[in-house]
Amino acid sequence: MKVRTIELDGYNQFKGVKIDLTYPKGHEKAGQPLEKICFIGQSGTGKTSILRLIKWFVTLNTKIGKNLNVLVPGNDKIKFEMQVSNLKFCLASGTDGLIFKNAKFENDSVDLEKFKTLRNDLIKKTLPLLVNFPTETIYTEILNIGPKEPIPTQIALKNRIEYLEALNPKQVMDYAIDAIDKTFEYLLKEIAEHRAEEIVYKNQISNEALKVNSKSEDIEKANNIYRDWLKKNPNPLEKLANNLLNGILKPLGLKVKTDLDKSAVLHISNIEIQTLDGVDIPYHFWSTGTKHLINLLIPLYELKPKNAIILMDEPERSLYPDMQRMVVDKCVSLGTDCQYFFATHSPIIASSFDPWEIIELKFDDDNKHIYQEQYYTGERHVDNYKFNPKYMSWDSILNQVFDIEGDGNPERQLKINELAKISQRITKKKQKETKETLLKDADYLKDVEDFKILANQLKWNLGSVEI
Amino acid sequence: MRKIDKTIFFATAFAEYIKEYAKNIGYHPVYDSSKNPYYNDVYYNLLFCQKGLCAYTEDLLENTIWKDIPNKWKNGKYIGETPKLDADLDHFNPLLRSNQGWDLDNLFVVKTYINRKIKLRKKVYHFFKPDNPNYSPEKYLEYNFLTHRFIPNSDLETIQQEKVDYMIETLGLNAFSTLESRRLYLSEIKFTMKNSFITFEVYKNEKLYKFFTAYEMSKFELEN
Repeated sequence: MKVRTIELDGYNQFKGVKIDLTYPKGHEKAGQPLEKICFIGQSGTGKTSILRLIKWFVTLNTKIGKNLNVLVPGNDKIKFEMQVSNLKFCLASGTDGLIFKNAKFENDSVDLEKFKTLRNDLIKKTLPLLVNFPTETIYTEILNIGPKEPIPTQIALKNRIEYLEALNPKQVMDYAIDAIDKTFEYLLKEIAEHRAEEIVYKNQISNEALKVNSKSEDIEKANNIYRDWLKKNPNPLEKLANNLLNGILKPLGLKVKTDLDKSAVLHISNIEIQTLDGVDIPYHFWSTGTKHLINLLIPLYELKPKNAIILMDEPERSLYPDMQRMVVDKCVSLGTDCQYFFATHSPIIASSFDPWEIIELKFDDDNKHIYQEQYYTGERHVDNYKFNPKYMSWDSILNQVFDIEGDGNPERQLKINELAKISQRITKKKQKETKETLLKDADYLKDVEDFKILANQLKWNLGSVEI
Repeated sequence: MRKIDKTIFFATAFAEYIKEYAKNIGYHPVYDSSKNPYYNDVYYNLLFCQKGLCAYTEDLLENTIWKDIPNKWKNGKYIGETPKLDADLDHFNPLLRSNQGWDLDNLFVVKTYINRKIKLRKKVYHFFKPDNPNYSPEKYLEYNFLTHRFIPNSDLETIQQEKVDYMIETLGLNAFSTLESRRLYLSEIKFTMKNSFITFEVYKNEKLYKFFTAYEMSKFELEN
């Protein structure tokens, strides 16, 4: 499923806002829904509200606003145009739930009943349909603390395997409601099942060895059975570690713990991490950035979403700038034909987007209403955008996209002013005096020295300076 | 900051309205921005006087309709196009806003960002007013091409330089967005002049449309 347009008129502070979420003219995908979108704007401009609306409209929530302490939108205050395969449809808000406005399937109009059938058929196999990562993700308890039981019994292991096999992900994974650590049980069930089965095989080897009249060929046979099984069933945790997490954790001095921990099988539904030297790091001691990254990436990696809507509010939180640089691309790479909605305050996150993918929300002159700042003039065409964050320096993004004045601290501006004045004195003297005179002019020589010192403090490239 | 000539006056209906109001009430009507029926008359009259540029920064506000503004008046009222520009009317001296809010002498069209984020209601020095008869950019300013900043003319007394420094900051002459725009514009001109063999004078007469003061003051750097 994908969202094509969002109209907000009279809902919260939005007035006459129509957000076009399709590729502009001149783009090879012109007219098709955007694959990734980034909302930016001052706090309170409605970024999170829009993410919430997307969740409600995509999941056909009939109780918009009623289960939260927020305003229930009036009739037609919000309109969404959406698309699933060849079915395009428009829904609007209503005081009693969503209102069906119109729908077309392969260019033929369809009525409400037909729409319901088509929509349900088309999304039936979309699992998940939506994943929501809000800013405040819910956790229940920390699962890998407290005393662990000794080596589990065969019966306990079989029960565990049966339990894991019965787990299935939901169509809507909303971490504003679902505890993220609990969902790891089924997200990582393949890993847990593998662990449990591995212990069964290893126990069989031990049992052979512990027999009073144990024979070496029987032990070897059990060993071979284990090795054959392992060959056919490579450890999925190692795959997860090698393909995704270890590359991200390495700059943090960490790696995924892949050694078998027998006692963990029954009690840990999360992965474990350790230092590069192999020292275990209990979950309580994970940094918030590490937790955030793992909790963001594992669901996407394990669910392999296809045609889903993914909502990520402030993915940059607790992440160092180098991690922010990769987080958007990494998340997007884990899904297929999905539509990703990000909301951010980070210029680094914003630099991962083309200008038509950025929706900037702003307060109007009176700070009463919110509008969308347009980045193009004239026709909405790729050539008419006044800048592209992907090509801009951080300075320029901060200044032009986030409206930050200056290219550094106010102290820097004072120092640059000082530099300008010295450079002007040098230039003027050079235009008036001969080289011989200047080399005897103490004031001139002092200015040159001062200029060098100041330029170095300001990290001004002296190689490019002509004064 | 170029010198501005405000003697070109079309908004006669506005002038009559203010005159009548002041005669009866004793002061100007409340300055209520765009709600006033004469707002556009003042705005577009000034935009023409300023040749489509921000009065302080010389950044471009509008480059198509301003030239035709003299032909768009009927009975002293502006009847031309009123596109939404990124520009506001600014009261140069904010203290005059309450009782003389519609004094044309005190009004300029300036970039919204400069008006709302930089200048605000800071005090001003009248010697550094774009239409002051004694004002000229050469008298008070120098342009440093290395940093693309305006600085006070170093021939001025120190105390005067400090006042000019204050006004440069207050009017946003070196505001980062303006400075960046000016840097890119002049760098492009230098590249064009150097590689397309266009002289300083030819470029000025045929192509230049903003940042005139910085351009004039960068003659040496642009040519070398």
